[in-house]
Amino acid sequence: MSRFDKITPWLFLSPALALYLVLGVWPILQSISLSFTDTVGIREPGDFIGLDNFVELPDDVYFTDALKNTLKWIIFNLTVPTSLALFLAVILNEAFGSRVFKTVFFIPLAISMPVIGIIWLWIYQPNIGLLDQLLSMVGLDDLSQQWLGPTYGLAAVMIAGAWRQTAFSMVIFLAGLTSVPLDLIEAAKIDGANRWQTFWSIIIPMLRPATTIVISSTVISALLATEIVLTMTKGGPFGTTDVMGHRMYTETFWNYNFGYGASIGVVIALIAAVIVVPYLSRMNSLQEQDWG
Amino acid sequence: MENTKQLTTMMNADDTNTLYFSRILSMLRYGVLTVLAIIFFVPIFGTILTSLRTIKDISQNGAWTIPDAIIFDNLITAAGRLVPNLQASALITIPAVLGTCLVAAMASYALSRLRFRGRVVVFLGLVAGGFIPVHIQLIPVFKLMNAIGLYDTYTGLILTHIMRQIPISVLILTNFFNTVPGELREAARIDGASEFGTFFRIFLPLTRPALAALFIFLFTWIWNDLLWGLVLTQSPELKPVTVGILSFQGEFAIEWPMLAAGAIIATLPTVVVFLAFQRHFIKGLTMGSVKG
Repeated sequence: MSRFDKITPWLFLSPALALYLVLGVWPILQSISLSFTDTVGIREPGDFIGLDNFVELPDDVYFTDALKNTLKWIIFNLTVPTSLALFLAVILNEAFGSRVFKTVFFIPLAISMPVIGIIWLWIYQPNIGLLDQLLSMVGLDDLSQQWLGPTYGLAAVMIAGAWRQTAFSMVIFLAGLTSVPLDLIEAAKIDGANRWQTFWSIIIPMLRPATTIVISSTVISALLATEIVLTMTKGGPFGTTDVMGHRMYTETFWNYNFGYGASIGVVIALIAAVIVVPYLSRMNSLQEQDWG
Repeated sequence: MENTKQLTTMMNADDTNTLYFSRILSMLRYGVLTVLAIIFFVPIFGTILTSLRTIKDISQNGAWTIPDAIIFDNLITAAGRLVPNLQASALITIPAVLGTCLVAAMASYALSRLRFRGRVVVFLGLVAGGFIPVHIQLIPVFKLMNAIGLYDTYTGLILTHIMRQIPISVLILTNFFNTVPGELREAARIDGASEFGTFFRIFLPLTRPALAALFIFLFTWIWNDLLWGLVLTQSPELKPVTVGILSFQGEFAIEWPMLAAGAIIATLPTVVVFLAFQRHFIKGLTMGSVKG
């Protein structure tokens, strides 16, 4: 092997690695070091204050409320959009002429969060909005609420997000279902298994890889939800719809508390890391398989 | 397909009860699908309907009635306002997508085809980046771009987007490259082609399907980004349409037909691309379903 052959791989890798290290990895280290300071704004580096920012977090009601809402969002995402996506994927997979249906369910994936936010803001407008008008059209005026008020605000924003999240998880489940051999299902039917049995004993186990992906990405997307809150409620009223990602953004780019904002960013990254480990270890074992 | 097959097997079995049951089940399935599809589509339909009428019309007749008159004024005004932002989005997104494809394809070629020490570590390191929350990078990248004079420039945003998309693209392309027969590269190398020649002239053309899927997927993803656009731009003419629609929202506050029109204009490019290349988009998403 000539010396050139040894360098070649790194020549191919160098543009990606350079960008990734300078703009991706180096900033992480900087965020961590920033989180140990009381830096305000961009001009002057703050003083080193050790773990003070992190110690302050549990006493900061804005942060703890946002943390609680983020946890609720994660639980919501794991249940509602995930089961709906699985249900839709299973019936779409079997339905004849499902292309039109698929397109309808997939479209939210192509829409940006600020646009989704505006659409759902209009839906939730009191009295004049699409939802209240629909309710009054069918004579259910009594059900009408302050959809974005303190009681229902968080649920309302989560549902707007679920509109898109369901589409995402459904794509993954559908891809997973294509790997379930139809013969297996046919054989099960001949053996007298009913739908429910087929579902639990064939489809669900075969979907395990897809499920791993759906679960980690749905949790991550709830953890990072920022743009939709930013567009719809900015965390209000009174922080009832605030989430960690949006808290970090507000603390940093509205209040200029760069050091404190960085500490929230570090907490988010730590939680993400915990969630992602099972997924990564799965990937790792897949890679080892591929390369024997 | 599967349905008809099922029906014929059932008829052969001459079990009219099962046939009857299966028909009901099939009808039920389409019923449920149709209802859910309508629920999923209502937000889009309502937004389109709203954009085509005046606010006066809505307050008098309600949002779900047939408009007094269909008007395109809102859409025309919104388009006029958002065209500079759409242009900015295109000038950011297209170079960022092309850049990501090139940089990631080179890296994936090395990771998939060339043998060198540290390959698995580099691969996992790059792919793990897909899970890094943007929140831990926002502040340092903002500071860095300010320091090197790339704040509020297309270049700064483009480089940042490439950095963010490298992990998922490397994952997608490495997995795809692994499926290309190894003899091709060996034959080209024996014929005296350089490693770079082999990559550009033989490998890239062969991997067009994967690159097409990646292109469509990245186009939607980068176009729809909001946070980096907010953090890294300041001049109105540089703001991508996701940021532009927020200013638009601020300006028209409660003029819902105008906001609905803005939402439609802002989302038109990605929805059109999605409808035209749905297959590619879904393929891209499933090939690298790391993110939400």
